[in-house]
Amino acid sequence: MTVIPDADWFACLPGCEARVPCGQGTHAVRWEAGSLLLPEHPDAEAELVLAALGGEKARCVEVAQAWARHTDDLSVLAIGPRGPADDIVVGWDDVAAVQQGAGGGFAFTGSAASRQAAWRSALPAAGLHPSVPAGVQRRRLRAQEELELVRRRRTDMLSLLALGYGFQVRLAGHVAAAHSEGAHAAARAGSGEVAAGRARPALVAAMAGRLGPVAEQWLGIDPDQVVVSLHAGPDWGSVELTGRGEQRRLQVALPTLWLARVWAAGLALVDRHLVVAVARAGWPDARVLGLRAPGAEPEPLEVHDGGGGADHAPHWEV
Amino acid sequence: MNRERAETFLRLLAETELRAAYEGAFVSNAPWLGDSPGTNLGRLARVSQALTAVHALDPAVAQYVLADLAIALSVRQHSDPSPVLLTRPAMARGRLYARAWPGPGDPGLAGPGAVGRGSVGPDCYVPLGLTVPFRHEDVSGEVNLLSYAHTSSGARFTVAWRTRKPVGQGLMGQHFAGPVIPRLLTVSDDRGGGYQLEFGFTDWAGQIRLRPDPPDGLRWLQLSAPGQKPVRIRLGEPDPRWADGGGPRVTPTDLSTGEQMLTVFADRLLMAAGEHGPDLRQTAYFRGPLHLMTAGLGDVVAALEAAEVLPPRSRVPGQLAALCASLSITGHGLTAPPGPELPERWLSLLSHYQRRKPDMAPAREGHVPLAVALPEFDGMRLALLGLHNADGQTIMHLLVNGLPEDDGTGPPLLENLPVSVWVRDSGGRWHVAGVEGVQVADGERWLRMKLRPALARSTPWIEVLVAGRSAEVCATLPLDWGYPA
Repeated sequence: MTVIPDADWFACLPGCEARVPCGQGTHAVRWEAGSLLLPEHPDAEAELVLAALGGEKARCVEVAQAWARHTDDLSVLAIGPRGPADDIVVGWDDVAAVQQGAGGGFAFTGSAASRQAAWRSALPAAGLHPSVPAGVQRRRLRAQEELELVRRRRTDMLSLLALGYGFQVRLAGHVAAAHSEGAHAAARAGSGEVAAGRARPALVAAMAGRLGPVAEQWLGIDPDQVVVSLHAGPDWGSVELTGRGEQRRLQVALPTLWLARVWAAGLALVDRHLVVAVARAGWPDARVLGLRAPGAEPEPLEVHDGGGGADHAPHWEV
Repeated sequence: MNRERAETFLRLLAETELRAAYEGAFVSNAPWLGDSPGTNLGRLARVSQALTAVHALDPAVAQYVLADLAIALSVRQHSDPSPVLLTRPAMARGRLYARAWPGPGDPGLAGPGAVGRGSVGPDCYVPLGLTVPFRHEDVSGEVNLLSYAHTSSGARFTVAWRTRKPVGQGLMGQHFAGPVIPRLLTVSDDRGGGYQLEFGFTDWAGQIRLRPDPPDGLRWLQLSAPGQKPVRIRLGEPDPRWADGGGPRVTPTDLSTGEQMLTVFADRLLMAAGEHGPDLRQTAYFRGPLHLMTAGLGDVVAALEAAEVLPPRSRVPGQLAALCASLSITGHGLTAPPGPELPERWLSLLSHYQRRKPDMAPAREGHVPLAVALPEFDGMRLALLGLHNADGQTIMHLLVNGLPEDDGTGPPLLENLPVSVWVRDSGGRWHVAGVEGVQVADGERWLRMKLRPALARSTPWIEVLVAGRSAEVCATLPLDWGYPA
């Protein structure tokens, strides 16, 4: 069965909103149709210019910048939630505590080179004393550089997780979609195998980490017995059950875009069907292809968001 | 080698560990201690160390995977890993696996050198066996010059030394010897040149380096010491012991990178077993370090197989399982059935350990001049520069050229000798060698390797075996022991 996406990957996702401490109060941050919006910062670009001149940067703007930095970052998939039951609770107090622990945070300057210059200028003079052997200096410098990058990534990640589950899965969708599109673009340019190969281990693990709990719910199989591969081709992929006992394996081959179009939209398991593709995207109504059992042909299912999903997650019903 | 499968294995292991954590199955409340194998992150750290050691995984990728897991665990367990613990040096703490030689198919890396034919290029090695007594104020002692070596990084004597303590004082340490011993010796050459001497050492042995570097074409150096007849060191003359084909013997081998890494790991385990006691009567407390070393070994073997650097039918995992069983080590996770045949040298050491009183007679003090260059293999040149017994231990001195550069992400060279070094004595007993100390100069490493068990001073000859991926080199060496006066 050939599946041709007829809409953006996020077409089955409703908008969502979070409140972010900003200035003296809290501001709304919204996600709608694939875009992050700051309704209370209509001219974020101008605010950035002011911040570059020494003004204080709004937390909302920082969050939006972090979002933009990580929409194709595979670490989002490694750190973020594997499903609704995977409880990640990060509050804005936690983010503030980490920023303070990291020396009060640092300004985003927009380019790797200038970021490096910024942290180099902040190095304690003792670290570069001429009496320290060159090799030791290089190691120390490298360690400090690495430490700063680690701090920055961690602060970014915590800020994005603090937006809540709804934003977390939508960001995961962005990342999966970016790599799916990237793989297609690379394939068209003739460098597909190399480019896809670099991201494939992370994407396989991301898929396995999310399909495992779904398969457990679907078939009662141990998530460690789910073997995932990335499917490339016009059809939806394959799901087969092999072996018995400890050798039993659920062999799943699905495209990377499944993570964005199906899993991020909360569609992975609907009415005891494993959803393998979206045939007609939309919200609150959509048509999906679902498997009643491994090895079966997918059935078209008309699904509807009946509401009541926690934290901006749709609750799909047939 | 399959790098994609290696990275996939590590990332899937991270998924398993994360699921265990959020399902409440994690075993520790401090999961970010990368060097603790009982933790979620520790298990991953062991596998990433092994995969990076065999070049199947970029260290930067390994760091990202570990750091991501640390953050993922922390946001689920409401805890805060210090960012310092997420950096690469921290991740590499407690590194157990020697870095492998770059394989021939590794892009961007030089392949291992072919087995040489005994040539050691322009390097010059001369055994000495000269003892220089000294007295300084109320301290007396002697310096034993074991060998002279001149290589691309310069010229040096390898020495051992001892003091006789004055009444009521302990042995004098290096704060004494450092300034005193170089002043005892004078070195000149056949062209009238003289040299400054620089002493660098640890404990009771070290190197005396010559400054400036002696020029090419010298016929001899002359060593003078107060009250001693000057000694001439003839340079460039071939060692007569090798003239009749009795030099080091080379046997080609074809180990995979993973097999070589696990074999070197087994050497380290056997070395450690001598310190921590394989005796079944010992409590688990004494065997604890061995359990720590081997925790996660099953994961490592599976990772190496996934990375296609360990053949699925390799005998080494089974041999490791048998070795662990012999040492009463459990919890290693190896699934291979214990192999029926262990290497002779492992069996020899195990039988020594399992004797009722294995180390009752400490080795008596002595020293042996050696200067033997082994043929190049696996891109490495190695020379034996002497051997001495002190404090009940036997130390062998080696000079190594061509070791891979260490990237500073872990305890550097102590774990970074990717070859097995063993000694078989004239009685047929095997002794494993483990790196005790390293000095680095211009890309060369001067290693102090401890032999376990120590050599008896009555040993008339030994065979030194150095085993790498592409070859085993074996040299039979008569031991001309010198004794303290």
